[in-house]
Amino acid sequence: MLSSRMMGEDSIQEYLHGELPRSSIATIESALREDPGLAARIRALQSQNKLLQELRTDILDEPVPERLMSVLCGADRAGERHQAHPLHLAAPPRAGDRGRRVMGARAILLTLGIGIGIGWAAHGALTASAGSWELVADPRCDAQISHSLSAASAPLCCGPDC
Amino acid sequence: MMDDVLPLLESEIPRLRRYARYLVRDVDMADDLVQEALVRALSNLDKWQQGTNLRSWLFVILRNVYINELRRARSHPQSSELQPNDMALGIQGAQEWRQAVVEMEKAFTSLSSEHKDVLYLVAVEGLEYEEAAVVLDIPVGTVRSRLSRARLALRNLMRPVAGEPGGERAC
Repeated sequence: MLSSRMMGEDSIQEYLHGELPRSSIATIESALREDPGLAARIRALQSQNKLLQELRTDILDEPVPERLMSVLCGADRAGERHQAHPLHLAAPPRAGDRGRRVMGARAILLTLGIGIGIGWAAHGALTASAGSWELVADPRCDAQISHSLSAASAPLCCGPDC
Repeated sequence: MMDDVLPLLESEIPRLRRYARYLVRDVDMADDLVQEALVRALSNLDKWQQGTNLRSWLFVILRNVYINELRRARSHPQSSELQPNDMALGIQGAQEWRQAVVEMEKAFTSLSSEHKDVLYLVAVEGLEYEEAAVVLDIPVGTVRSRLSRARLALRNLMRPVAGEPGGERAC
């Protein structure tokens, strides 16, 4: 059994990113139960992640320029595709069972009740809701959820009434 | 397929704009890159596999557009629109969280471009290691090792926050 003291930053990082092989997840989650120092290291990495995800969020809040929307609206209205250079893209890697691994990581942290949000909550300056601080930050999962919502929502609004 | 995908593409535009502004400082130039990327994406939708990460696929396209523009600009050295962005922004407000974000922005800015590239795609935009490797056209192992060194460099640059290992934050 790998000692939690020996668990390198790389492994912790991969665990948080959901990149750890299944066989290693049980090891780290077992160590989490026993070693408060390991939990603290994970909290530190999550804090770093949270700060990184705040980089230039002001750009995300800017209204989308009309000329960018018009690219999509043109395709929507005319049902035709713009002429552009054909691309030779490699097939993207499969998502595989990453989703399940990440959900496993979330579940174990919730179960252990690790006070990940507590340190930050005490400073009283969270931008996210309290619940989300207990989860491993995974923008991919959030993005997939928002994609589902987008797909189910109204079609593009492309006229003067938008 | 188009009807399903257009709202997905629309939802990715803000992040495309942010990545473009990471690549180039000039706002208009950044939006030019995004516009071309969207045009190419629409033309090549048949190459995107449903169920795979659309953001990652779009980032590959955007970066290719950017690299093409770099090559074009090299033959026209007077163009200054393609200056990389330092991602710095003055955040107003006294809240400790915003102070930590400002500190993170400064620390991030001071990293090497190799470190910033992987950290941005994986930690900020949530791409998988393999996806980041495709966007940056480097081996997965290189993504992993650069990420590790980037995080270490960040940790050394950031002062510890109260409640974290490393002690109290100096005020």
